[in-house]
Amino acid sequence: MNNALMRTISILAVLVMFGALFGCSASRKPGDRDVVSGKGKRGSNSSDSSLRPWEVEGNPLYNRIVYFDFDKSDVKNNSRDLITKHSTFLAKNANIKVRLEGHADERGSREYNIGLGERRSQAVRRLMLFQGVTDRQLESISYGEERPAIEGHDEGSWAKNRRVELVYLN
Amino acid sequence: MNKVIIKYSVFFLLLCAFAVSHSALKIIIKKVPGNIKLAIVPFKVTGSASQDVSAIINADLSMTGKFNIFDGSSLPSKPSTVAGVSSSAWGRFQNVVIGNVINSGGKYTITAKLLTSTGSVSVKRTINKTASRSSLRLAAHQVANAIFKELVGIPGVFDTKIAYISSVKNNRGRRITTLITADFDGHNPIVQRSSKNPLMSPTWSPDGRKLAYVLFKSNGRSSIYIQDVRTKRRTLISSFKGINDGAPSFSPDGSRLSLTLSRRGNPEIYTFNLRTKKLKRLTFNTAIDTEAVWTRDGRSLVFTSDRTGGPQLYKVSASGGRATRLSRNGNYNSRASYSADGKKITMVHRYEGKFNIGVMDLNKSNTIRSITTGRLDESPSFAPNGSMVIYASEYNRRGVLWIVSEDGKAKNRVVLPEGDIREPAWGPKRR
Repeated sequence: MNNALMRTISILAVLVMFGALFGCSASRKPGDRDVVSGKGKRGSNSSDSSLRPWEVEGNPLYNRIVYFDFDKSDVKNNSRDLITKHSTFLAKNANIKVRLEGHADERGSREYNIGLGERRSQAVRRLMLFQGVTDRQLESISYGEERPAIEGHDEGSWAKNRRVELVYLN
Repeated sequence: MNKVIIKYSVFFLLLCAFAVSHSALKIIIKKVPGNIKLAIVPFKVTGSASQDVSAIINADLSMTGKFNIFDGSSLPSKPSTVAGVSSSAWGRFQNVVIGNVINSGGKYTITAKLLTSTGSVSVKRTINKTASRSSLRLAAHQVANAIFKELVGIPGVFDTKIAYISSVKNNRGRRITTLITADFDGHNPIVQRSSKNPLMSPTWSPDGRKLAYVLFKSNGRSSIYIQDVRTKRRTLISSFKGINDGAPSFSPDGSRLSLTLSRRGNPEIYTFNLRTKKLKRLTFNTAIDTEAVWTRDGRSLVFTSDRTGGPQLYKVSASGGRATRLSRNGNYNSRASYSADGKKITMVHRYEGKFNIGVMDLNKSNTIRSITTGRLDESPSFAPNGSMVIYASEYNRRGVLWIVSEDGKAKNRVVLPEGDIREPAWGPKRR
């Protein structure tokens, strides 16, 4: 091996080393997408100029999170308006599909919380079916407490984590 | 120089790639004096030893809360023979452990003696073990088992395994969950499976050779797998529409798995026959029914249901039929786990607004006592001898494990250097 090549390799190696170190220490805020504001990257594979209605701030479909009380899965009265807006839109757009992701706060057992998240997403699903959305447009899933919106251990965080997220799949 | 840089670059890259998955746990033992006095003399090492055998024995026994251990400077001397222990100087310790570790070309011989030092000094038990460099730690745990058995009267569990889930952020800030098996004290961690999506609910097969667990996919659907711990070969058991979860659990003979499915729209308990691949549904109502575990005779299951409002424990026959309520204290009892003798159940129990670990002695009254005082305690699991419970909790905003004595007095904290650990499952007795 000649000297020049050896030097190039060593410079590259140093760069890789720094990259590795930097990579190890770099950190980001929790979560890949901003769940709390409802801004999701999912389903937005088109350019900015052709945003889906649920991606436009101020649009009635922009709010896509339904909150629940502790250990409860009944839809609260103040969430019905939000759900009705999505149901009305979906009833008119039969080709659009939504995944209802149920979540729970971290208190209690993890597997019971999977059940609780499932019950919450099913409660939203039943209401939307009643409002004219078809069964094939909706899928219920539950993450339980495995995917918190906020990684806090207080009532403020818990209230934000007891939720069903409406995730548009188109 | 160049070679050195290249070598270190590769080292750093490897460090980056594996730092997340290969971190060993650390146990912080809080020494709570128990009733049995015991002096542990550092063993005499001939040659060199890759493990501090007497320190491992000391740590094992300290965790149980059953011993009042004397060591280090509280000992009159450091004898390695019976002749070095006099009743005048050692009588007050009542029990004394001395020993030798001889390394002969990488083959280790451990000779440990448990002495009674009250009145006259006598040998109560001699324990001989041979080990290689890689099995020396296990041999030390087995010496601790023999001492525990001799002084407490029940088998020790220091050679058993645990499974748990770690959740650590990678360099992109994304949480990676990993299913790990390790020695009960966190040493020798082995990655069983890793994912950017949640992994949960690990549980051991009765022979300790397999784990069942739940893995989510990116689309939020979940699946149950059974995996061979040694070969890591896995089998997909269930991936129905809806949830496939609820803490799967093996029947005592290993032939069936209980699980929770919501494929009919509501979480219900099923059993899955691993030979015939047939599902049997056990619950039929609009409540959440989940977290089933088998009674020791395999004839019934205990599960969580919120059919009367909050979650409580119920019992149902494995052939189906009416469920009867087991838990009566408090408004939140969930995720039952049996002791190996079937006489006790540990569970998540809400007491004064906090989520503690409770233990229910199965008798006429089925009274539940809180053995912890945490705020967010969960996922309890008995040691195979019933003397300790491992569970998950939050400590300084981190997910940690605790190993506590069954009466809750001795508490040992298990932490990962970074990130969170949770959902511990204590493996069965070593075969």
